[in-house]
Amino acid sequence: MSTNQILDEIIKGTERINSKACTLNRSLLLALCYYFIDGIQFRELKTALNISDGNLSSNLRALTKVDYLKEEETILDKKKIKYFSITKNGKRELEKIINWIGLIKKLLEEDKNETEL
Amino acid sequence: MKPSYKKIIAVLKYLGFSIERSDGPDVSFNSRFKIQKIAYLCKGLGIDLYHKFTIRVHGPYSHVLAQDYYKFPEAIVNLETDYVLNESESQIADEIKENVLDHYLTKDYETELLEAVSTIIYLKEENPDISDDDIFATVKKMKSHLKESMIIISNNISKELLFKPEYLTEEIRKELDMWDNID
Repeated sequence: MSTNQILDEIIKGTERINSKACTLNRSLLLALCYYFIDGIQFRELKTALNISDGNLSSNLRALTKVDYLKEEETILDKKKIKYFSITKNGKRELEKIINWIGLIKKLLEEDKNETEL
Repeated sequence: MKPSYKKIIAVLKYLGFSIERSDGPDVSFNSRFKIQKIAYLCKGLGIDLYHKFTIRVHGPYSHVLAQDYYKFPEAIVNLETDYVLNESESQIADEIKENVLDHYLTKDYETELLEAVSTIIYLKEENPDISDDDIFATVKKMKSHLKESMIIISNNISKELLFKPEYLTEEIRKELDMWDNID
């Protein structure tokens, strides 16, 4: 792929990515829920990300609203807990983000190759 | 099915563990949570498993083990395995049963106890010289929902689980006898 093609793909990719998902915290939430396929509890996400309840809630709500994450409830030790897991749409969106970042990496590597010549 | 997965199923079967399904064919969240912690306890106490566990976020947790039970849910729900535990593996399973699953706290706090004990065993595995104070502080930071008393009790359980007969030297035995014989 030529540098022009890579740049075209990066720009097209930007249009394909849902800007509501591609903030740092939201991408991280998608990545964590992709890896922890069992689902992650709200309290675990809060500790891991070290963000406020309000901030975490609003990010989770946004991702749930666009059907990238799903929220479920269960009882653990007689206590009701919420946990979040990734949906098929969420996986697809995260893959788009990863591919887009991969293209940026490729572009920068092209640049590095030229500098080394 | 991979041998390590069969081995984990054999331990669960030996422990008489019952696994619930979710609404679909998969294992329920509750059971998945406990399977992960018991599997880590097995590994931490010396059962040879290829699964690698992480302590971060939802830990101790093995991504590969999760893939195993999503791929083969029937085997784990029905506890179907052709693997037979050897003597030392059965002993480890007995210790887990005696010290954790049969503990009086499991009646109301089974998942918390499993989570706390497995986390502490993981931390001790990572850093064998970690002090009780550091264990307490680290677990409290990582798992803020756990009560202080749960962390302390779990740390004591972890000491029981990690205790090896060779640690009981003649000198310690004499001292214990002295304490036992005090009027």
